[in-house]
Amino acid sequence: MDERRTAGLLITLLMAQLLLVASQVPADGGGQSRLEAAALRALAPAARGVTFLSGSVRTVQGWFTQRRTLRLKNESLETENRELRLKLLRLAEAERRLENLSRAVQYVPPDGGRLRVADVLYIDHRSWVRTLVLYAPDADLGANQAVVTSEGLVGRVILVAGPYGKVQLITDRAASIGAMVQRTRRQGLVQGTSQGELQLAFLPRQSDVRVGDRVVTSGIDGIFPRGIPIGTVVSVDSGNDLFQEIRLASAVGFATLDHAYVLERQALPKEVRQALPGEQP
Amino acid sequence: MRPRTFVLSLLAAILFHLAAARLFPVVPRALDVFLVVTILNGLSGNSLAGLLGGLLCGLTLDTFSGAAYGLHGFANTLVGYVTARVAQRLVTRGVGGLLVVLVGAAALQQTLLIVFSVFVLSDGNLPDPLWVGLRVVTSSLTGLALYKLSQRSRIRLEENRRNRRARLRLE
Repeated sequence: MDERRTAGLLITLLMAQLLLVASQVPADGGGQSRLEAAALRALAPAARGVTFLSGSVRTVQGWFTQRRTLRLKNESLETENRELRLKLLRLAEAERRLENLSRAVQYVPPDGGRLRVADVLYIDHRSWVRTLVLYAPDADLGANQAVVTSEGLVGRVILVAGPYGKVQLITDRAASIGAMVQRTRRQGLVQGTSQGELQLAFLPRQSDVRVGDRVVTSGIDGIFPRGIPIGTVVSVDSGNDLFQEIRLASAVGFATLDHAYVLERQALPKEVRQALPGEQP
Repeated sequence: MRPRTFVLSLLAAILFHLAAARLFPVVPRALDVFLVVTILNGLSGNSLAGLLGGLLCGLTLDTFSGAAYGLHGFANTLVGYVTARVAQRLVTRGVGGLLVVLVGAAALQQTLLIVFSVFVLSDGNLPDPLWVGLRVVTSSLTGLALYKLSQRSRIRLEENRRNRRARLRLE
């Protein structure tokens, strides 16, 4: 092919990709591209292979390095287990009381959804976009499903390709989650930053927030159910604006994430989320 | 770069990228192996191979990253083509000249990504300049090391072949 034709092909390819990128701009969090889904379906098995291999290497490494510490760990776990059993008894009693009270005032709590286990295949650690790819053959994956671990919130599913799903992490700069300070119930928005950190926005200067406060989901965004831990307040700056500048440490350690759980739950319909007050049905 | 070598390089880059993301998360932040493959492929001087190689490398990275699909594809296609055109017009035998081409190509890719981020995606948050700079430096140096290594192994292979021909056969 001569240089003129190659230059023509270059321009065509660049224009096609420009249109592809531009078509994704209005979609929240990247959108559902068929081409991207097909590419993910083709390349994700390679990620599964690498995950399996690195997991096997770590297991073998663990046999040699952890033998000495296993006994100590076992003792501490038994102590922790006893304490947790006591706590569980107290919580079961509190749950029964809550059920009785709910029944008395005819309150029906929202559906909590079902948790499905998923393998984390790949985490994008680069500086300005943050996603992970997971493999959940048993889950009925769908866009906007919440992804959690036992520690807290991981993110939401943004792209599905068969058993593979791409998840936007809460630390992604485009992520925005309805949240509240657990101690005071004061609501705000948790947003990711370009440095891959978390900030709690829209909390007025006079609101009571302290370092060490736990921040959980508020359930007002229609995606994440209420009460999932997001992180802990690490710094509070009154700033010069109307709102405080609050930085959070994520509850989830993304660097050591092996497994996660997809929350199969009916998301709030898009029409309900986008409907404006005063609109005619 | 021959098509077979390119495919093998791309597969190696995918495996390296996935393994590094799993075991040493800082490596994919500091080094873009797909960019290295794109530049090395472009250095062969074939502009068609350069742009197609860049396209494949970029879209592969886009599949795993959370950025808009086609973002790296666009940048790497252009980088592959430009590198090939530069390689057609310049003779870069010395380390210095080669490094200039490599740094230029890596800087072009990062600039394109930032321009895209600002003007097409309208994102106010720019990537950390420290990481951008680090990615340019590490990608260029890795590219230089791999290029020199491949040249040296090619020369050694040629020598071996010549020696084999020069030997007398007593069968």
